[in-house]
Amino acid sequence: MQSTWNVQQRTKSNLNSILVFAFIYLFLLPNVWAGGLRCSIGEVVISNLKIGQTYSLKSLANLPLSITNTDNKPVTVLVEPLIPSEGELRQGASPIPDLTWASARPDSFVLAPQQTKAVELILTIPDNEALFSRKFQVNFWSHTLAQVGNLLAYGLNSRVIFTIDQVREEPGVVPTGDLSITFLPAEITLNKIKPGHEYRVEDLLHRPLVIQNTSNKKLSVELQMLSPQESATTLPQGYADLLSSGVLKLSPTKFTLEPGEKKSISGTVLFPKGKPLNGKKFMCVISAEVVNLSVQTQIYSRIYAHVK
Amino acid sequence: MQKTLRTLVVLTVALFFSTCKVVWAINPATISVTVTIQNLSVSATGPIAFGTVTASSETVSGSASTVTNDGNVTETYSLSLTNPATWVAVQAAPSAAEEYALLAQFNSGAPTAASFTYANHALSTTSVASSATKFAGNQTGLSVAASATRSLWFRFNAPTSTAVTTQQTITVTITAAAG
Repeated sequence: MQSTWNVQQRTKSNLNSILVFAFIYLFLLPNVWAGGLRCSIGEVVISNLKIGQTYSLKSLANLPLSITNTDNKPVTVLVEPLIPSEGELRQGASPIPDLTWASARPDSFVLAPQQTKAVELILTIPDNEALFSRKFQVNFWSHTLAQVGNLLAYGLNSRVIFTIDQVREEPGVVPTGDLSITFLPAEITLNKIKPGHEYRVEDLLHRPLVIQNTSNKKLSVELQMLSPQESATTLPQGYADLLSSGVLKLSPTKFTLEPGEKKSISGTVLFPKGKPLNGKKFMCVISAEVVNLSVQTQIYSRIYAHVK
Repeated sequence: MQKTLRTLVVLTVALFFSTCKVVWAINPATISVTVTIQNLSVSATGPIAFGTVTASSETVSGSASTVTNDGNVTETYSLSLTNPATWVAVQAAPSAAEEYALLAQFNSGAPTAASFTYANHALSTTSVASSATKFAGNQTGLSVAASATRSLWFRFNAPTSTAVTTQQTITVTITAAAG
């Protein structure tokens, strides 16, 4: 979000001093402006990229960065790769050494109100064996530009974390996958859980977990429950692994989705009695993987459980 | 005989290393792509007004900008500004011509001017992430839950003097990141 003050200043002089009057006009009237920016990726983790190769997330996993203007007027959007600061780094990654490794296509465009545009995120890995087994992070900053008369702008920072394989790609291999599914809600918080009582997740959420095939072809999906250690996530401070203290069950865990089809997932969570769990907080990950493709593609939903 | 033996040894060594190469060869690993965090979204509504201010004055905005996490994951907000053409933002009380300070604070109600500190609330052209203290009032821009809102207030410290007579634009950017 950006807010703008237009400031007009006039100066008056007298013998000893200059008086400055700054007139700050109110452009931002109640209910006159409202809106924002939305994008489809908060963080993506890619494993085993090969040196000397260029990858597009769109061709690698049918995963563009979809950016939507939720403002009520047109905006100009820029998508820029940024080298993350120390505080922005996650999962032990190093910042990419050179911004030429990353690019977005297109990197600037105009979006009408409520319009969405798909942007290709591209990574180019230099042909350097010193990069074998390294882990890097680049942030893609999607942001609107302030324009005359357009007093709102917004920014979103999408993290791309990637590892590099310890060998080169085999000649002629073109890895492709398809992550054309949504998995909602992306975060689930279960509050006031009592040990010894089995809860239906959909009852606690007042809605089911839903996976939808957003592509125009049939996809096979497999669900897995992962501890944070097994997944490409890290435990938030103050949280412990849910799967080591409780039991989470999902059904179904293997299914096929026709184009556009949605599947509701049922789940239960149970923390056994007798363990000192009161007041503790737990987390795990549900991974929805699109299987049988040459690139392994998956999407996460995080579950947080707070024991009463 | 000696020559034959030497040739045999060389061939044996060559065979050993060629075998080792086969044993040690590593196949390229399958690439995996995992979306660990889905939709990010940020929006804002609300008026921001400073009215007329004089040189060297400090003014708290008369109302807040309401910032909403309308994504589906927890977000942290970073703040930065873009200087107008002839003014330079400083992270201390302006002490020279053409210097100004703009400070930001997440607070549920109107904060006092004194509750802003340059150390914790001054904006710069570098994007800085909210923390328990950075830009904090009785709210923070740290780990804002999905659907939650924050009220963002500003304090403007005007230049001590300026030669500029044209209209100026100061831009404040809030960037949302997962976490």
